[in-house]
Amino acid sequence: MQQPATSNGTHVVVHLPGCQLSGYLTTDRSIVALTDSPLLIADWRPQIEHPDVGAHAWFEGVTRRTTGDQTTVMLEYQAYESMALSELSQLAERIVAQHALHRLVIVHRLGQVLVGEASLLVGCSAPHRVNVFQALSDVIDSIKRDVPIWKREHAPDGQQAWVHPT
Amino acid sequence: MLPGTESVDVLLFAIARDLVGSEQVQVQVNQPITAGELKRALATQYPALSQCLEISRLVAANRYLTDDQQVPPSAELALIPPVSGG
Repeated sequence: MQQPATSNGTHVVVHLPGCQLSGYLTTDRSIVALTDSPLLIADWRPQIEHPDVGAHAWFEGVTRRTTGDQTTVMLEYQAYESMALSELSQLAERIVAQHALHRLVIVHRLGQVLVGEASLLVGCSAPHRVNVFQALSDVIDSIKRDVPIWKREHAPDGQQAWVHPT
Repeated sequence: MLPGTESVDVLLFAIARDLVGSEQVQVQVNQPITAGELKRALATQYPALSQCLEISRLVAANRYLTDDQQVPPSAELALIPPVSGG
């Protein structure tokens, strides 16, 4: 895959995990990606490592089996991929600046995600811990508001329903 | 097509796609048009989308539009129901 240009026109070398990516965008301090493959922190950890950071933090959003009295066997994710990448990249740039992060990684899985598997992986690094905790929370709040990705719940009896919070 | 009207494509996702049974729809509009006017044209020409349109946002060239903003000509358009990623 050809390495993308950053916003200032330079090319960055990105050592991507072995998993198949639907698409990705990078800047000097962030990478955002969409994939149909399982998400594993170990694959992405090198993206946020640096000798000058003192804190790494990770968030994994995983498929939950129960919501109230409803049972879910699987979530299915769909995205408007070009816009989702663009929104994630803008979000990443904003969060990196706001929280003085060294690096930020956001990866969202698409397609079918079974109970216990991760659909969203967010990882970041900074010199101090206070920055990374708040950054994770802000990233997830923004994703749930503006990034065009949708989930459909699949019940054990085969019923399916899109989740559209209002 | 009526004289003075033009056909524009709008991409659909999630519940909107299921309601119409298609990944995109063609809407007849009079240019220039605002996002709100385009949503009303969608509701008229695709009544199945009516309820969904009330809670959805219109996107042009990967940017959300408010209802009073002009829809830029030739931009890729999409209807975005409330998102639920994560």
